[in-house]
Amino acid sequence: MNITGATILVTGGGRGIGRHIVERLDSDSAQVCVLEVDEAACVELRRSGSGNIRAWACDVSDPDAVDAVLREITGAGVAIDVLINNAGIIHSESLVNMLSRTDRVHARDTWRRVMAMDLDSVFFVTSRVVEEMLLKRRKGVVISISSIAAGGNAGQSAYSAAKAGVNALTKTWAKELGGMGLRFAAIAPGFIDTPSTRAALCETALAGLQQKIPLRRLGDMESIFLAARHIIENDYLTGTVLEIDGGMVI
Amino acid sequence: MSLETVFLEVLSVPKAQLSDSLSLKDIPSWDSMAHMMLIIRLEESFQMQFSGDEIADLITVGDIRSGLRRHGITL
Repeated sequence: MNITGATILVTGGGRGIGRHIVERLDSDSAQVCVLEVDEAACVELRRSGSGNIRAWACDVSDPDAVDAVLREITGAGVAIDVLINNAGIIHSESLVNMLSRTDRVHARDTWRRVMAMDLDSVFFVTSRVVEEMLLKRRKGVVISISSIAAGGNAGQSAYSAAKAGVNALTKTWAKELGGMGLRFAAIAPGFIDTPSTRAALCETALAGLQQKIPLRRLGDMESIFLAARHIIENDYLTGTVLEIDGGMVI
Repeated sequence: MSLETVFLEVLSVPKAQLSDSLSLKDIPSWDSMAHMMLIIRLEESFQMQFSGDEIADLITVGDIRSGLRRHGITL
């Protein structure tokens, strides 16, 4: 599939990796649509780039909100060719914290929140988008942003489980819907140089981390966009999780 | 491609068993995914398109024959 002219829906496109993907797709002349929980970011997105970016405020972890916004989008005559499930949160919390004097186990509400934001959202948005693709008999591509934490990362029970779930959904849907001309793939970034990564790690931790990466540096957001572009353009690629991690294994 | 060939390819049902009264759910290889594959192959073969409601109403082989005829297909 060619990116130029394709209609591409990106969730969580207001900042970070999602924002970079949105800007690069826009500069490659795709018709870019964004679902973003932050209304102010939506306003800013509509004014940015080519001026053709369409953005809707939506909490993609809310199934009713997803259904409503996708009804609005399809009702406006927009036919999605590519979905990029990017929205999500990173959360670190040990399974048991013996230093706590109150409840020592991983908070139930943060577990639910991470699963809702990182896994439920992928299921809710993809199911509705695929329904439309099937109804319109359009061949399409769904890319989900996973993580190398899907293999299991100490201190990230919820995040690792949610991302492993994303990988499982990607492979399941690739098998289930390949016969209908739909392709599914995931991108598993390692440590990417984003403002949030910089904010989360002190200089010493950052230096130590880079020593564990065979390429000795953090990844850049462009490497994630290039992976997404490869998935979109390579019509024989499906069911794959592309690891963009500089060779790092956790 | 004929209706019979599509059924043989998608659901492995031979022509001899393809009566109008045959219910799709009685075909062992049929499920919701196979149903969609069947529809897509029929649409490709006959250059037409069923609506979403029509797809849900295709319960027997006879329903499919009638549906195709409604779209002007001669069988």
